[in-house]
Amino acid sequence: MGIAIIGGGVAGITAALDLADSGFKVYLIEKNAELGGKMAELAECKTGLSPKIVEIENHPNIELLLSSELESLSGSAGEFKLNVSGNEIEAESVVLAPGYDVFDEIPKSYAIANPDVVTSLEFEGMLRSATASETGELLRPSDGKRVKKIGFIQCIGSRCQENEICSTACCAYTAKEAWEVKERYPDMDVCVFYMDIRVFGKDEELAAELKDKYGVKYIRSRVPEVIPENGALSVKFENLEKGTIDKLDLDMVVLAVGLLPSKTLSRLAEITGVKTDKYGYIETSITNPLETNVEGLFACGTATAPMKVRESVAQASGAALKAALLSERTEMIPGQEERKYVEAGEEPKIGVFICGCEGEVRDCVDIPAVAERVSQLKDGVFVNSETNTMEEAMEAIESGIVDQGLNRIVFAGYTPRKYEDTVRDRCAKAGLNPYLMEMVNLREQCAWVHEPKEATESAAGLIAMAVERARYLEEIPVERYPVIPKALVIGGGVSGMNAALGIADAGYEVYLVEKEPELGGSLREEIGLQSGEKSSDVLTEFVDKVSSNERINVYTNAKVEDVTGRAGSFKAKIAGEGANEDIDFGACIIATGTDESVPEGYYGYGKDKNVVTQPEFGKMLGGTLSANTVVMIQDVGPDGGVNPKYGSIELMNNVLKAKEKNPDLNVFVLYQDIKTYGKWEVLYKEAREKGVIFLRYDKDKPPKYEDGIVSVHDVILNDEIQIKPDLLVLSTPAMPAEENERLSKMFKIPLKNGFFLEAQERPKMKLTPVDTVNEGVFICGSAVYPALIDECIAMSSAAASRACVLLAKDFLETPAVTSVVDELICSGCGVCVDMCPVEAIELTEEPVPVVTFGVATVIGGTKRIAKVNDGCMGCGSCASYCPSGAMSLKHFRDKQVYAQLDYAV
Amino acid sequence: MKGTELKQEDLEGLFKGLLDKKAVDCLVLPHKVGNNVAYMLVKDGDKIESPAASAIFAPSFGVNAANIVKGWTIPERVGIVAKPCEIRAAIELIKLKQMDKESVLLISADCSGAFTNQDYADHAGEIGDWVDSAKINELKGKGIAIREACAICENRLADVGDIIIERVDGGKVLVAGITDMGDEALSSTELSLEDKDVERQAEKEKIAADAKKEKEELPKMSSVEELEEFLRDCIACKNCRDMCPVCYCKECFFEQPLGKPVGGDLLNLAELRSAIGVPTNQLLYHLTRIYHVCTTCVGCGACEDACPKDIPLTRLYPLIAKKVQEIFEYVPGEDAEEPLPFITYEEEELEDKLR
Amino acid sequence: MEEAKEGFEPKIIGFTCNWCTYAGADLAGTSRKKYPPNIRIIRLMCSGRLDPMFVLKVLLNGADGVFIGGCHPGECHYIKGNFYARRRIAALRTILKQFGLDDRVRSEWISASEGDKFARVMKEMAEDIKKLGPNPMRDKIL
Repeated sequence: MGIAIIGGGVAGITAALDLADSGFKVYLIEKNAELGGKMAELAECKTGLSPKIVEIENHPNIELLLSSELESLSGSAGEFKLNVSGNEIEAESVVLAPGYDVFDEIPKSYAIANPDVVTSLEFEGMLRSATASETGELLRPSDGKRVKKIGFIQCIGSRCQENEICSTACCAYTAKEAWEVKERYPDMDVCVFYMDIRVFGKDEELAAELKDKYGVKYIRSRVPEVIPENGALSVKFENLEKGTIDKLDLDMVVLAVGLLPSKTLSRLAEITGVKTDKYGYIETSITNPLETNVEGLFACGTATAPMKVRESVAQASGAALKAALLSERTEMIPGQEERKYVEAGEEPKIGVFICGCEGEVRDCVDIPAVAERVSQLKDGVFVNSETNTMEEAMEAIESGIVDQGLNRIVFAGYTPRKYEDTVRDRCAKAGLNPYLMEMVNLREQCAWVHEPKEATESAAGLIAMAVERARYLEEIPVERYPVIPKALVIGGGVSGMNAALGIADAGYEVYLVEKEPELGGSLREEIGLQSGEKSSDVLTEFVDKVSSNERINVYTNAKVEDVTGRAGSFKAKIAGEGANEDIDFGACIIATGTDESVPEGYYGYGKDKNVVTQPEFGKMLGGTLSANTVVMIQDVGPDGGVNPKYGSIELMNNVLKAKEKNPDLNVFVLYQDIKTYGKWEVLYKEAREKGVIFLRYDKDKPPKYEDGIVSVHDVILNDEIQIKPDLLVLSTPAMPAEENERLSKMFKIPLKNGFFLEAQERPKMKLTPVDTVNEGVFICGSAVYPALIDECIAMSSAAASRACVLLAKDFLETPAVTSVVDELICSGCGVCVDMCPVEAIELTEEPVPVVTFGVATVIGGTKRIAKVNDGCMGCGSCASYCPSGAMSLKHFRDKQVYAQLDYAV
Repeated sequence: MKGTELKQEDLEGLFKGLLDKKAVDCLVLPHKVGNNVAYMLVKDGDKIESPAASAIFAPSFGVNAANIVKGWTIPERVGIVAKPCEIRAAIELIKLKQMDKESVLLISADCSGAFTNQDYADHAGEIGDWVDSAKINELKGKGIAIREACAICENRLADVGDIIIERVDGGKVLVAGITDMGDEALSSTELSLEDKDVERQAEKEKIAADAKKEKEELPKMSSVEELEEFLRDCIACKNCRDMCPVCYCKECFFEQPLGKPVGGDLLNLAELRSAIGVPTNQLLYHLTRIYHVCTTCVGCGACEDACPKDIPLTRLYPLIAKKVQEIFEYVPGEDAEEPLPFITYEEEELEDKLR
Repeated sequence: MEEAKEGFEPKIIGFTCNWCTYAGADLAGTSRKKYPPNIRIIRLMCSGRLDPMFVLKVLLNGADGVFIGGCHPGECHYIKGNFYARRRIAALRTILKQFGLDDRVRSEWISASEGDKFARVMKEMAEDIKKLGPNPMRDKIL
């Protein structure tokens, strides 16, 4: 049996790979003829996604059903029977990832029929073709004139009558498009019409930069209308900064269209019996964000709510883990077989494989001419220039190694950034040490950026350099070490507990370490969750499950110290009250959460008992509420934290509960941006309907609170308003856990604003939201950004899934590109020791043996020598310092770089 | 700082005391050899020549004392009495772990600028045991000039190491400890120490200003062709490296196959570039060496003294190193605890120096 | 600045880190952003691996320009490799300045998302170095 995944977009792809890589049989069902879903429609994203697609196409554990649709589903969890376009499939569990469709009933008022008004997706395409064009200019579709002024209108088909929820992703993607425009065309006038800027995390910085550095005009406005006039466009809007009706002439307008559930979803729901909510999304709950009402059917990505790629990918990994728990592992894990390499031999026998890259390179670079020049290189090299696809090239390389005895491979074609692992793997399969292979990037860095003649010249030059480098490449022994099938989870909040449960349920032992005396993290505060559940109920359920799980060892009042080792084989110490234990583990999940911020000194907090924080107000709502007038202020200090994603949602939730308790309560909310993402938008709507008054203040003119009176400059009225509240409620930023700093150093994972930074694969995509630069260490929940509880749960399931993919392996290979010391040359200066960013170099004292030359004896003593330990990440900073060259970085040794340099000029 | 004023002739007693009281196990000390000055390693205090001051302050530069001591892995504490630039080099070597901080007692003595030891030997009578700036000018008029490295040196006054020996008026010297180790060593000799603070700021500034002026007057290069011409006579003997106190590699890159290709590698290179100069990589050797010592070069000028072809290497090494040190606001040899510029950084810096 | 030397096509060697600038160059490719073909990129894992000797060597070999690209300060994949690189490059350029070679070396922080910046820098560099003319070390017997 196996696991069926419905939908081959980014979520389906992620889930499929996580499962297949841990030894499960996967059926990936996609209705289109190609994988990639919506993301593949975006040129740039497609390039980022395609290596994953290649991986799927070649994965022994994945059966791909393209142009196929689910027609029926019967049976129950553990024994589903699916009919997929006529094929019978048996699966123990099913992951639903049908994705989204964009809003397409754009009202006439936006003049969408006008060629100069385009949707954001169309605009993405325009930008690509503009940059690829001769002049690189962005031209107006109607008359081919250069675009000088462009406007983006947000919330098209979101937060409106047709679709009352917030699409969550559009603010961020608009910001990115605006940024791209400004980067390419710095002189272009760019404005964004918006209601609230709903971005969080890194995107928040981007939006701020757009305003401050790039001069993008963000215009807070309502109901913009696009009026084509005399061959130009005019946008009429209600200016919410000034309260006036304004008009702005533009050359082009981009509509940021919202997300809707996939059109296939209703039928899918019908077939599977999965419940959908009133917006048409698959219904899930806050505490079980990946589970549907049907046992064994899991949902992820934009089928459950509108969200960004990063959240989709996290959900997909999480759903994969849930699905795996119901399934039996039946397949081999790729790459686990022991490889035998042939002796490469002293004499290099170099094979150069030039690939046409499906015509992308062949159409631009004169490959026969390049092949001719390469074959003239000294000492003779074997050249193959026949292949046109990755697969053909790989087969040719394998045959070159096996049949012709080639012992150095130069592969010219795709970028190594994405394909190096694949090519190395194929070389290894054919018996060649994978580090005897060098890649030349003919597609991204020649064909796509130069004119044919020049690209050909450049290709020949780059290959010559690579051939010379290949001569000096060395076999790097690839050693295997066993994976310790245990995990360490740091942080006993909901994220940490959920991650621990996921891993334990998958069959691995878990150490769960919490610094406080008890589990629970921020859920220990008695608050009502957005869904109406009480935090204590949710918490009790988690704590019970954790404490009754015999695979989870819980340590409270404890800290993790002295971490050493690498993915698959870490060591650490758990220290604390009553605990002092050395542990070893294969994977680690950091789920430290946030610390509460205390706005000491802000608005008299701490002195005036009528000033409370939002969580404190939430707790007060458990009792009676005597206040008649409440003022809430968003975005209050202190410094050093970040705005939590749940900030506005928590506020709305409290406001509505307060109004329920006391319908006559006067509530004023002073805000800069209301950020009620996704379905939470309805809370905002409800609050307004219930008479809550929202007053926007300017960042530079924050509200004042003196003698019990709040005064605020209202932007829209352009006047000062004074309110005398009985209670002043402050929404404060979330502070990164104090532990983060220490853990960041210990685990070598960088922080941004105090929160952990994920490994970044591609510029605009987050395909690895829980992975870090330190392989084997994963991050989740509010350790990454202050997230909502359902996000924390999804993310922690994702982290557990990623950890399980690693733990499922029996062996891992030692990293190959690391530094080595030539002990005979090392002077022991120790500069490398101080320089190493991961403390992977030690200075050792070695006895100098007593040497006798005839009658004279050289007295022995000690000498200092640098030694590289297991922690080396291979940056090479040490090697670049070392003046004698005693320190080298394998695969990037001086002589290897020199060889390239000699042939570069 | 704690110190005491001594008569110059009492210096022998001080050094003997350091040895006798085991503040140091041995002492590297300049002594007169005929008309010249050289270093000796003294175990027995009775061997210290009198007057010690005449050798310590003699304006003669032969080998940088730090270069002599570098790499002596002897299990004893060595005291080094030398000029400030030599002590600074020793401090850089401590940072580079080529010397242990605990196993050397660094004693710097005032320097007024020095002559090459040949010049000194040839004119010892005229030069004498000490020169001041007036004397330097007077001798310059006679065609006997101090070394270029000394002329542009801004740090001639003793102010580094563990103990300093300053010349004060009345034929006296002020001996003072400036580190705990220095204080302890001096105390052990049973000298009566008291708080001393001699204000020499004005003097320092004057020296620095004069040195800067001298530096400005040195001929400058502006193109790589000029560098080629400058190094025209270089025979790649690498003596400049061997005599450099802060060059510390066990095996220089330019003795290894990549820096000094032989055999097939050499032929490949010749084939690739049609023709190459031999010995090869000469220009690369000097440029790389400038880079390797650019933060640690103390400007002692030992490289120039070492050059058998009389290439004025001060204009290459100390002069350029100083420019690099300026961008890092780093003065080598100030303090053994200060990190080397290449192992530290500021989050925001140097952006104007990158493009 | 004097006018570009006629018919002179500079040879520029680029050292880029794997994670940011090389990826930025890839992005320039994916977005089909054209730039002059004078550059030959050598991929290092980190700008911290850039030994200034590489630059000296290639300049003496006759390269007309050297480009060094790394992650933005604070965003290094290896935490601080680019901070070290910045100090080394600053020192190196200070040395090269004495011989009029510093204008041939340029370093930029280009992230994986700055394909446009990569292409722009390549254009600017090609133009700037055309104006400087050939490296005087070209064709010298060294």
